[in-house]
Amino acid sequence: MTAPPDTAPTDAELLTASVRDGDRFTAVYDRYYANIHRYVAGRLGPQAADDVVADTFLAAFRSRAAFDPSRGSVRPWLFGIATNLIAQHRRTETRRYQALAQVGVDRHPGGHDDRVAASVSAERLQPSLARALAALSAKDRDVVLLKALAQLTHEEIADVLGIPYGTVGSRLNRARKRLRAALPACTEGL
Amino acid sequence: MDELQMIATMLDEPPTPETETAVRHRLLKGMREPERPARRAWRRPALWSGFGLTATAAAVTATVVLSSGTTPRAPDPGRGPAATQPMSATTVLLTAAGHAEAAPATGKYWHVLRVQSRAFHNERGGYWMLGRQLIGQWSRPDGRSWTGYRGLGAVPMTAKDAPAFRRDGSPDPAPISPRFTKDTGTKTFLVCDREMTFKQVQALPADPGELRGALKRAIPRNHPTAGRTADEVVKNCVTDLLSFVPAPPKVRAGAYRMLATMPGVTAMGEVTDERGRKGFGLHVQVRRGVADTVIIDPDSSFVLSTSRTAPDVPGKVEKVLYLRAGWTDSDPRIPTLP
Repeated sequence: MTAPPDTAPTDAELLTASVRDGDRFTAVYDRYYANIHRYVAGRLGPQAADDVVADTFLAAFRSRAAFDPSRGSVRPWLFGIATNLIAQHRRTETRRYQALAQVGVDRHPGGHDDRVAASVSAERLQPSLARALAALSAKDRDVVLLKALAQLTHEEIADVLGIPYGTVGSRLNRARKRLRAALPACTEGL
Repeated sequence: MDELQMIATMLDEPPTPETETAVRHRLLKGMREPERPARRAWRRPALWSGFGLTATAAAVTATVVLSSGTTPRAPDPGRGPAATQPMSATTVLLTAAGHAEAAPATGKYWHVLRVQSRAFHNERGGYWMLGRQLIGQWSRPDGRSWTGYRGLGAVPMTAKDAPAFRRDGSPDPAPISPRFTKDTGTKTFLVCDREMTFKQVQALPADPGELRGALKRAIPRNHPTAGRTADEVVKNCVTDLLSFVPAPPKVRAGAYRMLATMPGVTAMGEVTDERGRKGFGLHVQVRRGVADTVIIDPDSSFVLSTSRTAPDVPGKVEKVLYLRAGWTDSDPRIPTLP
């Protein structure tokens, strides 16, 4: 499949071309490396991320012949593979949120700085936020992080997780309510 | 700043050039890896290909014997009068289910011997070929498993591909030297790409409806080749259960009964495979563009061969010919073609 001369090939065209010519797959990688890495590293931390990101693209490479463009686009397909692989590292993910909860506390012992009270920064809220994130159900957390880190649309998230569109909205609302509830009251209206 | 932005800020780990280089290196290395046997013994045949080459399917020729247990059956045991009648898929599957229930289940090792063929496309020469491996697997109920591999070389896909293939020096797209590996894990039985212990395999439900649910739950969510609907997922992996996992006879019977009720499963009638083995062909439309041809021996209830077509791949993407499947007392070794 060849794109018109002046047009960049679509993702699906690249993937189709890569079935016959494996080299072409690196173009898919170039397009999505940064996005997938941000998502995976955000959830698992930079150390574990390298392996999982490489495995995501390798799994995609190996199953590229089975990709069916009529069923959805390449982006959610890749995030779906990444999400599955992340699910196999749940302990790493939990440890990361626990560590983030710790860091915040150390950084602001007691909150002696007068300015802290006045400018409640996202960083200061980090411990509560990290704890709340860790406390979400795996299903809700998938939706939250596909939104926050990967910035997928509701449709794409539905596609990634294989759930109805409406369920994405209800999970996201429920999760955001919980996250907000876990933050200190003074952050209202931020 | 809303809580989603706060989360994005908190979790942000910008990629470094070093990281990108390391990941790219790993990906390229993985893509270049030639046809290597799967590390795990019971991996479901997956869609894959070599670097710059594309997988398709194979035809293998040699008379083979499907045995259940240690005593090989005669190559063509002769089929009952029923076999000469036109049969519906349902009838055949239910017949196979009945025979599955009566199959013996004793021996030291669960053993499967198969020829796995994957077609490769040579972009430069513009021809298709089939890379073939003989894979023997022995597994103990405690999970320990041994796998022996032997490369069988490549053959041109069709007569049309033969001249270019020979001009190119009859290359083997995925050469392996004979090797023997041991896996000491306990979860060495793969059902729908979920690693199971022998006990878990034995505990699979025999009721067709419950089995369908169990298979649905087994396959990892959003598995890249799983299919989107429950039916697709189940159809994608039910032949695993029938072809190379030591599921109890009752469960195998349940799997056949389940298959008999599923949409997209149609009878091809009596077929003879490339090696002259008679069996019954089933066409299983796994999902749009992906279809399996499963040839079963209704008399023994075992699967003789499976082959898969996939979009954008002319011919078959993969084919597995089962030479033996059953319990045996003979010890693991690097197999030779019987």
